[in-house]
Amino acid sequence: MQKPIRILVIDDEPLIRRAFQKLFQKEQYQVFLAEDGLVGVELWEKEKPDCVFLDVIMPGLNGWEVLEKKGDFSGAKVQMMSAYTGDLQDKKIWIEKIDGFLQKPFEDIMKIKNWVDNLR
Amino acid sequence: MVRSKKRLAERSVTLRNKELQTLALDLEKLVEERTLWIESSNREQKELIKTERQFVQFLIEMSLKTSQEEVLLSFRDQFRKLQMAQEVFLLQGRKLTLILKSEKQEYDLPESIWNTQDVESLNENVSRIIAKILSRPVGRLFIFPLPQFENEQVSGLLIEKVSVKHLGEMDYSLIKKYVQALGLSFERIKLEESNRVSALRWEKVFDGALDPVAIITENYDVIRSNQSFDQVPGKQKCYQIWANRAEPCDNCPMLNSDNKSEVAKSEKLFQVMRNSLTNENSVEEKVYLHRYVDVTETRQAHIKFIQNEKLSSIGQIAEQMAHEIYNPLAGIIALVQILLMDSKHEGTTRQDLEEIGKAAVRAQKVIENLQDFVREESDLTISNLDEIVDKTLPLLKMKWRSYRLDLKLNSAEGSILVQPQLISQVIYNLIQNSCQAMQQGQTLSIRTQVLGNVAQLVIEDQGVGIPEHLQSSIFKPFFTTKSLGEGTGLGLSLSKQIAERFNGKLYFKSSVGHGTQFFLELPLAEAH
Repeated sequence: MQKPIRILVIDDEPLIRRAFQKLFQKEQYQVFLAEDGLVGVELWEKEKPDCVFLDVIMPGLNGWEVLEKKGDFSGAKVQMMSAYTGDLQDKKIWIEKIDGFLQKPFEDIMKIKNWVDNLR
Repeated sequence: MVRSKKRLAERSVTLRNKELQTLALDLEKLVEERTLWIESSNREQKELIKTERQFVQFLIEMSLKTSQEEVLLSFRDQFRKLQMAQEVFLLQGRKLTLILKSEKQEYDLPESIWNTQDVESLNENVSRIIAKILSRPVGRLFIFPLPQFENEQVSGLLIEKVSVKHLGEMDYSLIKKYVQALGLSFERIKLEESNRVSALRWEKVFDGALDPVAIITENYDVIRSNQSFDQVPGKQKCYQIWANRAEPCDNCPMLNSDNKSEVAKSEKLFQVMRNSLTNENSVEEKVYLHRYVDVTETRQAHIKFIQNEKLSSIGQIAEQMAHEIYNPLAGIIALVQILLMDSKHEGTTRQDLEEIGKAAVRAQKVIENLQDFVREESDLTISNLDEIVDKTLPLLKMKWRSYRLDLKLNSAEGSILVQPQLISQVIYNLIQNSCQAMQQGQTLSIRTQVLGNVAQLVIEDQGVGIPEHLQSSIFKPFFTTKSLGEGTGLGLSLSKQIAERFNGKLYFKSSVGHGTQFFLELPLAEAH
């Protein structure tokens, strides 16, 4: 039995968290859910996920602040998610380090699943 | 005896005769004296009357003069005629004025001439100076004070008399009378001049005002107007002259009793300010001052500013809304996709899920369109009318849902190069206008097609139509039939501007009682 892929979802929208939980409910995945940035950093430290889905605009710590607070990604692949398509000029330094940027609403949830499956 | 009696009698007669002669002589003398006296008194009387007449004549002459020189000149001539003076000089403070060859000459006198209280030595001083100026000996000078005006220096009249003879009592009083008249004339001229200056100044201000200004009666008759107001020969009413109309302008302050109102004239908007020039309770015809300020540009800028502000605040709201709505929408769409992957959801459940997914995507589109609609600047983009109509319609659902919508879009092939959000604003305006013209239940028809090398959009309503006399005005800025606050009067003029910016056309056909068709035509991208 293969080690499950550890997935951390940090998003304040319960429906998004629920969708990710449902998408990765099979036993080959292990999903951790954080409803805000602070919990997200904590879980990231504690659970050492293989990948992180990180919402940008959240109350408390926003996505970029989570990255700053975390410092190194502890080997995790990071996908940022946002409905906001504003200016990303000053986020260049992070954009180079992350793996991708998902526009909300997601075009096709299967693409996300495929990306996670390919991490193995 | 008889003889002696006779002689006696003769002597007595002779005596009598002598006595009588003497008496007659005396009488004659008396009569002569009397006659002489009467004659002389008559002559004096005549002389007096003549003098009086001359004086009155002089007064009349003076009253017609318009300058100090003229008065002075005529005074001198009069005095020469009266053989009472050779020359007259005007002394005002340190200034000496004289008339030489009918021309006014002015000389400054040294301050020192006033350093004496003695009239004789003053006379001598001035005499010397005048002799120098005239290069001739100067006769005796007599000085007469003139009435002093406000803020003016002491002034007097110098009269040069050639005859050595001193002036008599009579001459003095006569000269005084003349000098007094001269003083009064000077005063009159001063007043007239200051009146004329202020009248002239007022006229210059009036005429020089860049804004049209007119004095108008309550019956619209122009009494006076400045150059900016225009003058049309044969036209009397303000609306005929200024606005080239047959009846008073809509919204004229005269009609609505406001002292300020806005009046549209051809392509411009004027603020008309009114001041009453007659007493409120006066029974005479009331007279007003109207001032017209062109506020076209400021108003256009203001409305554009407000619209931009509106769009930009809608933009900000749209941005926030997008974020708040996209998050749950993302969840819904993702969950629906996940649930649909599960084969155990079959039949109606699957259909329900599909509908939920579609609705969520539709909601997402509305937000996207709204964001596009208010985007400040967008690049020229290849698009087509169908796409833009599709994106615009949901934003107007509140407006058209009480009408039947007949939508036939057939120009998907007709690519146009435009800023789609601007065309979307045009379509928004047109549909909004059409809806406002219609009654509930009528049909709004929206059609697109490709016609030769243009893409055409026709928006047709079954409304009241546009009355013929208004048809030429509807694209003019500030033209509106809507009540205040409902429309800016800029919608159609801006729409036309936008259409023309992309080399397109916006026009209409209307028939009263049947409805109006608006045509928007834009050149196909290939045709560029």
